[in-house]
Amino acid sequence: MLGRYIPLLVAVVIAAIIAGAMVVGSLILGPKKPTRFKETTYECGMTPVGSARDRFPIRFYLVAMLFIIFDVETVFLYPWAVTFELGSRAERMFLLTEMGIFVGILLIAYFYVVGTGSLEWGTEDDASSKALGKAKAARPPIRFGNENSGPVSLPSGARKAA
Amino acid sequence: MGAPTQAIRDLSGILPILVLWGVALVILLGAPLLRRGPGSRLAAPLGGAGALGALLVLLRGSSDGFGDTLFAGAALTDTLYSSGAFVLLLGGFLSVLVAQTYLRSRDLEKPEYYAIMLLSLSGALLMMQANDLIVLFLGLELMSFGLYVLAGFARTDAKSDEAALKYFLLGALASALMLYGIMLTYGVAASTELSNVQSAVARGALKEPMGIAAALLLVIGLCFKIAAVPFHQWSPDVYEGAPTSATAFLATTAKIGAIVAFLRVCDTIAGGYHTWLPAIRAIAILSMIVGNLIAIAQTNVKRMLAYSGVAHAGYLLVAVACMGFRLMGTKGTQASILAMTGAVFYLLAYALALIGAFGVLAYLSSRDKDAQTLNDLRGLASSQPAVGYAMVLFMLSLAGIPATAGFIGKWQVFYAVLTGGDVALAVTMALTSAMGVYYYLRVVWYIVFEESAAPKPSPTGHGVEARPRAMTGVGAAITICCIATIGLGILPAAISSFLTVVR
Repeated sequence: MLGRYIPLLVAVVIAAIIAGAMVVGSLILGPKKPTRFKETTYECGMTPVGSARDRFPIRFYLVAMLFIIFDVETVFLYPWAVTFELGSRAERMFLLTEMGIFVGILLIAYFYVVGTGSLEWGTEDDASSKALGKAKAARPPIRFGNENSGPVSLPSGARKAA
Repeated sequence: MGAPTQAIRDLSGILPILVLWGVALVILLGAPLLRRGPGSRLAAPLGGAGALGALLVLLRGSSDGFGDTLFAGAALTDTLYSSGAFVLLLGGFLSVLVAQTYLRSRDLEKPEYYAIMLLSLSGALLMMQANDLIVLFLGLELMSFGLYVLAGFARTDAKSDEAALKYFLLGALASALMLYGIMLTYGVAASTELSNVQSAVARGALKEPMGIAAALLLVIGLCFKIAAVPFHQWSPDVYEGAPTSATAFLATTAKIGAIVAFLRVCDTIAGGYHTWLPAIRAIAILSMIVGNLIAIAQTNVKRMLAYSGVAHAGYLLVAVACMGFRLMGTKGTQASILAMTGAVFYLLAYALALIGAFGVLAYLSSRDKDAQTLNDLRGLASSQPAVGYAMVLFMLSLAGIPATAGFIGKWQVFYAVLTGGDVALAVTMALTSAMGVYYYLRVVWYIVFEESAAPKPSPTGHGVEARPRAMTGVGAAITICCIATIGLGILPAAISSFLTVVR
């Protein structure tokens, strides 16, 4: 039964061999002249600023969750609105009730979010903003290059571009 | 007119779930008000009312409309569901009582706890009502999400965080395996509805490699949830780290929901028993032996109860194994029905004793002390006789000593598997039960015969002033568990009208 998939398996194997040969080939044959700037992280041509392992406010997760709540609502509303027209009168009432319940539950989620203060974005005296400020102060100086090159300062033009 | 009346009929079939959802939403809506001030005392009564209300709705509804499939075959109402739901909601109500006191004395009380609890209960109910593997999975996830959060409810406690993370990661793995199994089931049966799966199995679907993989993945996914060996590694850490009230809740809810779903799934695929029965038997025997052996070495009562939970999962899997005998003649059919009823009764006895035992630990905990170890129980019979002897009773029930509910439950499962003619399972069950008596009786020894290590608390002392009047919930829970454990041990027939599974 699984015999039908053998060509697929062969294709996967061939793809793996070709891709592997390219990577290994360029590793062996390619000329290597590393410089400091070549070894910095590539960020769309921008000069990298700081470490990627940085602290950021936990609120981003909250925003993501809130986004999901209301995004999912919209996702359901579209197909519902399209099918709504097709029903008879009784069916429309039924559909309307169902969507009312759905939106009602989401509204409760919204009231919960507002009521518990999740939308009150931090002021300076807020605890998590303070933690963030502290993290900024404690951040080590930005370094470019690899560990052998020692701290370097970029040409001033590069900083402005960033 | 067809659609609306059909919808009302469908919705009335899941009325207990709707009650739970409704009360949970009310709690969430009121959460900002219930958070502090005098309103903070209202969340627990609301949660209790939700569980109790669902229980009453279930009991009222059980007279009519049974054996129906709802929502075009997605869910159903039958006696396996109604009896399992009875046990689940009773356990949920008792867990609310335990939580009311424990959370307050540990400064953890937040209204969300009860909302999450009710939502988790509704997930377990949905799982029991599922007539479709996808719905079963939906219920499983709804139940599990709540349990993950509750395990980590003591947010500033590193052990609680660890428990939640461990539970979540391993639970997610189990869910993924199970979902994969469901997918493969769809591959062989072209449907996930249980009746279609059953007819596919009858056509020999479980003889194909894909069918075998599907059945085994489903079994593994459910075994994770009930913490059967070798999928039990998460349970001791989760039981120990989670707040005691959450441990009581997750231990009973996950087990009741998953075992009832397990019974239903294995009953459905009984036709292909040669595929999954050996696996279930091996897992059951391993769970009984390993769970009981490791429990002996524990000094932390919560960890000990976790390993004893592994052993109990083994006993319950014996009942699940009986589903495989259904198509082996009249004796086998009889065994499978006996096993269903036996398993539900067993779950009731287990839930009562376990919530009672965790309730005693919760009772002994105060703001700065979380009672967990055997030493915390030392000399309890002389310092606080009522609680001490209640704990003794729960240990005896878990050990399966006659005149307690635990004995009746174990006896019913034992009888079912003997009717099915599986002597090996029956013998393992009897031997390992005897093994288990050792560590349960050690708790009894600490309570009754050891001297209290700490200076004896004065009648008014020992944290009593730290929690005046706060004992109401857990005291009621322990009392109910005690009365029910003895009552069902002597008069098991008293409740058989709710718990007998008919087909």
